[in-house]
Amino acid sequence: MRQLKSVTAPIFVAVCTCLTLWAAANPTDQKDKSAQAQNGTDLRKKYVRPTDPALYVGEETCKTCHEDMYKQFETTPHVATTMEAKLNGYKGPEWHGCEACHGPGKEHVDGGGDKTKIFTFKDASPAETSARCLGCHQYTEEHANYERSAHLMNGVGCIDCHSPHHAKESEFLLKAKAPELCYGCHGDVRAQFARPFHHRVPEGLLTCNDCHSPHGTFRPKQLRTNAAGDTVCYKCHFEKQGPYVYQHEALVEGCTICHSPHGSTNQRLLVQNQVNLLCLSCHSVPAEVGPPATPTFHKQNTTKYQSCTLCHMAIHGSNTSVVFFTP
Amino acid sequence: MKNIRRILRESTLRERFFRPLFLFLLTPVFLFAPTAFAQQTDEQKGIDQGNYNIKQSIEFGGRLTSVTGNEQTYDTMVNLQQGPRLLNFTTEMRSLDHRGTFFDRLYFSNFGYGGDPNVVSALRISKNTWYMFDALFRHDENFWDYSLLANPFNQVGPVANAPANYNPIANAPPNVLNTQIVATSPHTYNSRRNMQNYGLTILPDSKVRLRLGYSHNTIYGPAFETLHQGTEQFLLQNLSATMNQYRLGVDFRFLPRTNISYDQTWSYYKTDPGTTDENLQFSVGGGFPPVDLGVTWSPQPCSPTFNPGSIVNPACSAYYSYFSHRQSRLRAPTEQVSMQSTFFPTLQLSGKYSYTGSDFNVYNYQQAFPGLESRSFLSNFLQTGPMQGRHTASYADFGATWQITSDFSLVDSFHYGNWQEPAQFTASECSFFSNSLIIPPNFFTSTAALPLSTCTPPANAVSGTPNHKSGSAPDILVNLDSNFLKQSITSNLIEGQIQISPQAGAYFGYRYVHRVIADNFYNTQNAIYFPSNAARGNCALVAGVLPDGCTQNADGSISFVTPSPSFGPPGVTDINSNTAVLGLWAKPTQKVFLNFDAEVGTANKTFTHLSPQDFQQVRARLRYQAASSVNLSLYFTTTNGQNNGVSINGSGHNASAGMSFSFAPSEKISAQLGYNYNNISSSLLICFVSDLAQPGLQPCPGVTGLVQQQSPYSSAVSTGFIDVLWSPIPRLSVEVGGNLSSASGSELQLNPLSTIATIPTGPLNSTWYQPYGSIGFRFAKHWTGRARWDYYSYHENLNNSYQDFYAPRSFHSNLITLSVRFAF
Repeated sequence: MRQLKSVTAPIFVAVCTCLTLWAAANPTDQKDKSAQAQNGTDLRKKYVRPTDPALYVGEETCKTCHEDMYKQFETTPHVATTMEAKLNGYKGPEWHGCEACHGPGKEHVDGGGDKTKIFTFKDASPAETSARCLGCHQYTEEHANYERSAHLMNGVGCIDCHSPHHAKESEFLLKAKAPELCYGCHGDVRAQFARPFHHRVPEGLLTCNDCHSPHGTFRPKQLRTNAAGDTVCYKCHFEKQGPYVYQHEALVEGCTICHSPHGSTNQRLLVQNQVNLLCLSCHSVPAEVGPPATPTFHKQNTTKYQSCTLCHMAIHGSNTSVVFFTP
Repeated sequence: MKNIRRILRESTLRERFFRPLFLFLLTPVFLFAPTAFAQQTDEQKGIDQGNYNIKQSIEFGGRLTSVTGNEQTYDTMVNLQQGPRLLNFTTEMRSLDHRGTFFDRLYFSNFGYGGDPNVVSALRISKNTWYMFDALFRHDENFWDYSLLANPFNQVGPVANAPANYNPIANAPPNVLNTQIVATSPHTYNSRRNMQNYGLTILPDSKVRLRLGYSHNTIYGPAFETLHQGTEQFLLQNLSATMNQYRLGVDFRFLPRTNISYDQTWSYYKTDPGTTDENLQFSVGGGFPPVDLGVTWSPQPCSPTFNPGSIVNPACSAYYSYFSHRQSRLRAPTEQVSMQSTFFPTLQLSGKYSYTGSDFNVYNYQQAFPGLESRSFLSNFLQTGPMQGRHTASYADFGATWQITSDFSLVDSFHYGNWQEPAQFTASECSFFSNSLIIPPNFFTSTAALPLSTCTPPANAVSGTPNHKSGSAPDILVNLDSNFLKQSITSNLIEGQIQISPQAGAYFGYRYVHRVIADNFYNTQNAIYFPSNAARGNCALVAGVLPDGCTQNADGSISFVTPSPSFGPPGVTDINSNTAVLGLWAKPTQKVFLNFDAEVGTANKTFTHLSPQDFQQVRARLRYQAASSVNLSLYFTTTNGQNNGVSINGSGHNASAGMSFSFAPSEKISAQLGYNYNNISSSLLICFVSDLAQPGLQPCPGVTGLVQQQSPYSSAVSTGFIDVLWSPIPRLSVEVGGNLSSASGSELQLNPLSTIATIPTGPLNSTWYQPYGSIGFRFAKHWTGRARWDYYSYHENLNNSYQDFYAPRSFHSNLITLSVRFAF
């Protein structure tokens, strides 16, 4: 109960703050005269690309003033937007080059480089900047859930991780290489990887992306799945999946019922230090439909019975032994 | 028997110059290396040659390693050995006119070759509009020999008449302090995992896009395990498992702003493990072969274990050999349909449905051992039989975002999953009995109908009446176990998302989850019990009468067939949970980002005691860019759970708070430092039995003979990191830093009346330090020499347990890596 009270107070404060901010941001006579509004969008609406070719000037015109920026742009995969042949599904100048992201440039050029006449990402909301990217990148399984992802819902947009013009990592135009990029917000996970028993992310064998999709998935914590839709752990640890004749039914709750996947001070990434205390957590008084209690000859003052997995070795499941003595 | 460590390390020595397929790709890539340097010498810009801009770097060198302390723990945690290394090799190529002949972009990176436990090669190659190809190879060597759990190898007190200088493990490495103490875990292993993934996308930007993929994952290597059968035999298994996966996918983009995909995946799993006993070392005399007495020496295998002359007591449980083999195969085809669409202007949709119907079979299964299980007089045992199973899984997901007004949208995510796993094992078992290791078993010639037509006696068996105990298993048994487990889950999360302003937003929502977990079991047996003592097991007399299913035969044997076999009542767990979610974020300036989110939920029940019934989670983050070169990040997360069932009284708490700070005032110097504090605690009621338990404990409700006690666990871990990079002159760079982690905690002591601690706390109270330093000097154009020092130190606070005193797991190591880097 005390834990419940300890979280309801900050939640209540957050709700009040939210409502106050929302009221303050929505005066009844708000007028928005930004360039975005004049181009048919406002700051909070999805981006609808104007299709009038007369509004566009082409990337060669942009290059005359932004030559350095354009030369850097040419080294990135986005240069493909300047190639007509590539744009099979994206015909029209609104999908080409600089203006595919920054919007029509004629007013900006006619205004002598008026910055208010062109879309600048740094002043826009995460949702609107991401809408520009998703116009091309949305139609794959990888990015299909980004609008519902924990990242975008919490204000983390595409350009918080990616930088089309100033990327430090050229493969995916990231602002920093993973996992350092992820550590910028997820410092608690960095600390877990620094423990003696951990998944080999700091060593470079794995990346955060192997288990989580930063663009969101249908599963909690943006977790991926294996090919069959089962838990992502089985993508690498396929030998643990089964099916087994004799199941260790606790695995229905997932691998994290016993293991701490990022890192742990406990061996085998267990959530508890001693295996017998972990096993006894369930193998005590049976739950409604639960595991058996330990037999009375399993005296915990003898070494043999303190080490449960000495005998119950096939603990993830067995095809030959109902008590998991053999695999 | 070979030295245990040599068995585990042999493969590593052969593989020290391991050459996977990808390494051969280095050769043609080297052919792209320029024959002369172009005008541009800046590494970041690369050089232009022909139609390509090429950036390349290669760093090669060698490592010297010195370890002091427990080498097994070092190999488990670090495992960086000395020798030459290819530390890094990276090539990037980009076509200048975006119309390269075979490719427009190529990225190829490698590290770890030469003997490091982690080796990775990654290749991405693409040609605009035509194809994209990705390949990834990863090798992981996972050595494990961390002897923390109450190591049963180590006996308490001397063993009378034992052989001089014996060791429970044949030809084990020298023990700690030249004692008989074994510091090796009974479950030591050295597994290697190779993971290869390939993906090809053809015509990536066309209305019809084809995707092909292949994965080949293997795990192999020696692993020691134990088998409980009277004693705990010490077995060696050569792990060998392979998963091959083939993928075919097609994307259709005929409708505006809509993609529909079909994916077909075929997964094939294969494992052929073989297990033998490699610990046959103790003599039983009389010309008999040596036996394995097992790994448990606390208490001793039996009393007395040895007779005078160091001859094994023939009444002890021990084994002459062990053999197990099987061929396991799994075929799992998966069909998946998915779609993403923004066809309707204010509605974004995505969905996916997949179905997997996999078949699992085990062929040629055999388990056999001769020896003695003293509890039942089992002297020779053979088990065979097929196993079959099935895993069917359906998953359906749907998501929608509906932009209702300019600043409010409704978001819904729906998930349905249903998997089922029926499986069965039809075991055929032949058992032979004797009361001594050195007395051959008798075989009984029965005139009754037998469950199995063939049960060949062992070569040394003698015709006669077997010697049974009341606890002896059937002489011949055919046992069918058919089990079923399933889970169906339906969940829906609906959220309202508010765009307060371009600099702030919020969301609130509700998640409902309904899970049904069900299991069922079926068993039937066909067995025969030979004399002597035929009325045993399922046919033990009840009030002087044979139970149902038992039939007395004329030859004195008793046959048993399970009467009216049927599935038992299913076990069903129906769980409903409701969760409220809330989030708030703000970017009041370009330099500040705040984020807060929370979840509060409750369920009507749980499937395990460890699962919380009520749960709360709160997270808050702040990022602040104080200046262009100064960044600060603060975060706090807390997760709490409660399970207030009468026999559980469970709670869990995990709170983490920390900060990180980066400072880069110029190109010459940059620094990062950070700190994290993580507090984990949990507690719940457990039931157990111990002669040395705390007096006065309540009996365990509903379970005779056990006591109940609250089991608290706590762990507080402080982690800090620092990294400073300094370049006083352009040619010189110096880096110093470190990761430091300290853990302290406590857990329930089940045996507080013991005069010495029975279980070491191990890593629960430990420190883990990894400082490092390096210096690099660019001694010529494109050439840099580096020297790097790494220090690894692991220390456990000992609690004077038996294990701690004789086999401490602490170590420290110094690693020096010298390398040369060439880059342009």
